[in-house]
Formats: sequence, C-alpha cells, structure tokens
Amino acid sequence: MSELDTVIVFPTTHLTLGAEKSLEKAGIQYRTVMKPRKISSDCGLAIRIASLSLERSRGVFLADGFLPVRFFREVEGAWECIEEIGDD
Amino acid sequence: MGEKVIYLNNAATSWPKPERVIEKLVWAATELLATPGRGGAGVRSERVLFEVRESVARFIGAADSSRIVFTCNATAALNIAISGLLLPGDHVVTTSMDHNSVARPLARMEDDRRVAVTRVDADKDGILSVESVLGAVRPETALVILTHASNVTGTIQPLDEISDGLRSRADDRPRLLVDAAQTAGVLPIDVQASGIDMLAVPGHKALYGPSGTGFLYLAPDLVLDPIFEGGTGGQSTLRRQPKMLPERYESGTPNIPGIAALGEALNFIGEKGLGEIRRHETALFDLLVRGLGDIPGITLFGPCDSRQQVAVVSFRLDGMDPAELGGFLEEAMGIQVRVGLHCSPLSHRTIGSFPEGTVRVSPGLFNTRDDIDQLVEGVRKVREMRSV
Repeated sequence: MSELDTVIVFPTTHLTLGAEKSLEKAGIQYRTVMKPRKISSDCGLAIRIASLSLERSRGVFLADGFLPVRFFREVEGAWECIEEIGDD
Repeated sequence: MGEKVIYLNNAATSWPKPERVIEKLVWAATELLATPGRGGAGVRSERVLFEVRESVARFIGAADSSRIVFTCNATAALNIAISGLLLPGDHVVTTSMDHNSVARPLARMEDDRRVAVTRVDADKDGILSVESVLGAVRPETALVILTHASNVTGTIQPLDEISDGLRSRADDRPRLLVDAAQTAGVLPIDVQASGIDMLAVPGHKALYGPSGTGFLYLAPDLVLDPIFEGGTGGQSTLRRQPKMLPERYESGTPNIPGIAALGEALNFIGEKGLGEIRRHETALFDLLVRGLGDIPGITLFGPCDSRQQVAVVSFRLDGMDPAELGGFLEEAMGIQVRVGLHCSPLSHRTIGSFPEGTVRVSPGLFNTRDDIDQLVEGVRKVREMRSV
C-alpha cells in the first residue's frame, strides 16, 4: 500500500463525503480521517491519498465540481498547503 | 392509536407510516450517537444525512445535493425562502389559495412596508389562470409563489405553464417558489425541468416520513440571507454564517433520526412508484366524490375531477356546522377528518366557505375503498338523523 501522505481538505463535510464517493468511483485509494488540527481548527473530516494520486484526484474534483479544495503535504513536521483550487 | 380508527386526514399528516420508516427511526435514535460535523461518532450521522440528501436530490431532479436544506417542515422551508430572499422594495406575486405558511410571512413584510404583494384570485374551484398570474408580474417582482395543490380543495395548479411564462421573461425573471406540501410524493416534481428556484416540501405528509422533517431546495445560483444562524460544525472560525451550503441554512443539531427515517420513506415511495400511488388515491377520490355527491344537501368544493385534483375533498352538509359533522364522525364512527379553515382562510374565502370552513377528507396510500364507503355511510346517517 502506498503511503497516504497527502491530506485533502474541503470546507464542508458534505463536499468531503461527496468527494469520497467520487474517489471510490474512480478507483483511487483513500482514507477518510479527522481533519488534522495543525491544518484546521475546524471539526470535520479530511481525506488522505497518496501523492501519486494527486493529479487524478484533482481531475476528479474538477470534473465533479467538488470545490473549493486544498491539498496539504507534511514537510519537516509541518503541514504545507501545496495547492488550492476554487474560491471559498 | 388503540381503538379502530379510519384515518382520512392525510393532507395534514399521513398515517400510518410504513413499518420500515418506523424501524429506521428507532434504529437511528438508538444507533446514531452524535451531532453531525462535530467529529468522532458524529461521522456516522453525517454519512446518513449525506445519503438522504442525495436521495432527496434524485427524487426532485436536483443536480447538486448540497442545495437541499433540511428543515423541520414545509412551513420552515417557506419561511427560510420568503424571509431570506425578499429585500425592501421587492414585489411578490402570490395567490388566493395560499396556506398561512405563505400568507403570514408575507403579511408581516407587507405591514412593515418592506414588500408589496399582489394576490391573484383563483376561481371558485380554486383554479388559477396562467394569464392572471403572469399578468401580475411587474419589473420589480422578485418572487412568484405557487401552491402546487391546495390543501383545501386539492386543486392542482398549472405549474409548468406558469414557469414557462416566467422563463420567457429572460433577464428580469422573478424567482419561483413552489409549496409542494400536497404534491410531493403524489405527483412527479422535477425542479430543473419545471424551472423551480425554490421548492418547499414536508416529510410527514405524502412522503410518509416522520413529523419534524422537511426540506427546501435552492437553485444553484440562488443566495438567501439565512434566518437561523449558529454552529455549523465546520468553518467555525468565520465570524458570520458560512456561505457554503447546506451549512449556510442549517445551524444546530438536526433531527437525525427523523431525517434517516425520511430517507427510508423515500425508498418506500420509490419502490411503490408515484404512478401507483396516484392511481390508488385517484380511485379513492373518485369513489368519495361519487358517494358524497349522491347525498342530498351535500356541497362539494373544487372541480370534482381527479385529473385536476390530488386526493383532497372538501364538503359541507346544508345547515350543519362542519365541526359538528366532523365531531360526529370521530366520536360515533372513529373516522378522522379535518374540519374548519385548514390554516388557509384565503382559500376558503376564494371558494365561498369562509368563515365556517369545510369538512376535509384526504385519503392516503393505506386507505381502502371500505374506508371511503364507511365515511360516506357516516355522512348519510348524519343527514338522515337531521332530516327526521
């Protein structure tokens, strides 16, 4: 199993659950987790994927309208936003 | 209900509920632990809400389920829509067949001189003319409100024709709000095909869900001011209510068991099929109209034509207070109907039954021909007793 090292954060749980379905449909490996506190002080869910799946996931979210979305990766112990698509 | 009851008040709340709906209600109240969107065990609740939202969206032909806002009934949905959309100086077109859930919010805004309201009169059968509704629209009209079918006469209004007329107005088109309290679960509704901007639906009537459920659909380009604000689980650091749906219009802990059961009710309706439901209710309606129509002294309201009505029949017996007749049916025969003004005095003024109102009979999916026969027999008995 590849390391699920990328965290995807949507502003609402509704979007997160919808995106989860789209990833499932596209056959992209993912895991739904609680939002890491260092990324967001909000309650709710985030999705972890492997960085290898980033491009395909981006395509799925754009095609299915799951926006806005932010992608995070851990760099030297801190979560860094590596991409943000759409306006909140 | 312990004693034998013939329940013919489905226009108020459908009863009984399908067993699977009750089972789902109990399951959700037992198993779903926490508030959605607030982490931990709430995730299971959130998944249930998500799935029901998706089911609702499919049911009404909405492309995006985030545009479905759960409410506690159709009244709440109508209030969110009316109070959230209208701005000072706006004009509203509505009709003389409105329920108080439309009439009262508008009356308050009218009295506050915030909005101007034109109420288009229906005819004595409760039928609206498309031309009258469209003719009342002005350049400053922001909203047209249409009760899809009357809760007093069951009269079905020409939704698609009115919608087509509004759509042909191009850029200055007013928004269309449809109150589907008497039609959702009986007639097919497609918000995209019918150009509906906002749709208010109760869960507890013809959808056979529990009381305390309902929803409001909002078109993709529509932004309302929220009338409830508070905790939404996510986006907590925002000072004001979030812009994103459904959170923008849903604050606080929702009715999770009720919504879960509403989802099961939609499954039930889907398996039964709207065509089958409509056929069953139409057969009972026809039997009812024929049976009551044969009794001397009975006045039936509405067109008495099942093609133009859902299964709601209002009537009066000459010289008798509707409340007295309803009381007799309930006490002597265990038949439950609804009497009076049905929270719609405007409709009763329109059909000429104000202020006494009518006796309203509204069969549902679980009623039988025998139920209707007994009702008709009960009314006949009352009439004979009074003639002696």
